[in-house]
Amino acid sequence: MREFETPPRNWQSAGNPVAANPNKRNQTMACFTAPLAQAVAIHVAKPAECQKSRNPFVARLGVLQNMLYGGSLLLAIEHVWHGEITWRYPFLTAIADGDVAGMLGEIATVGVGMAFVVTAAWALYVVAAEALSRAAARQKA
Amino acid sequence: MCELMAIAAAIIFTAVFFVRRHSGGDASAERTVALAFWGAALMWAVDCVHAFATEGELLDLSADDAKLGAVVVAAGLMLYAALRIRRRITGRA
Repeated sequence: MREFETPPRNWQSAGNPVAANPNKRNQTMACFTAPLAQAVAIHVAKPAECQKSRNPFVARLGVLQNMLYGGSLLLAIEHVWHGEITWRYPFLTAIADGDVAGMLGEIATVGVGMAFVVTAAWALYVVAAEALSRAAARQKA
Repeated sequence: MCELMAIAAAIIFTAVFFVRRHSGGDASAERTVALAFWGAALMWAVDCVHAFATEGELLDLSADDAKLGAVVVAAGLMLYAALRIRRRITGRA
């Protein structure tokens, strides 16, 4: 009679950081790097006197930058809390564990999604603020 | 819980910003911190949707996540204090 191997007790948690640590909801590894990269790109690319620009989207780039930098900072604290960022090289535990492909996939899905949602919310804010200021100008005239 | 605390902090700082601006004061520090909390809340909302799609749980209401939320709010308050101190020293935010 063939004997079946009984799985080890911790077979569900083996190699699964979520099951191994119930406090960790999902595998958020470095998702904040995508909005942070966008914030740095805006910081480098935005014109010096952008607040005086006639284009409302350019004039309000500072708002988007504050949302991206601030949100990335607060998310980085969450990653430090979950042990996904360390003080030692290579700073990301996903790289130290050899799960670079999983980390890049997570940045490409969750991270880019975060950057997109923040940018969409900012665009809605600019459109609403512009409509309100035009309505106020029309009432004055 | 972390998401809910970030949204609550964003609403409070937005209210403080409007009150301070209405009274004629310089509200740039309040504006920066409110925007940081709104950015974090939107980013965590995406994370919550991702968690719901993969694990079937939208919000984490555990005590550990509440502690993390408290740490994040404390970090936001420290940022606010740093911006206020900087404004007092240099005269600009």
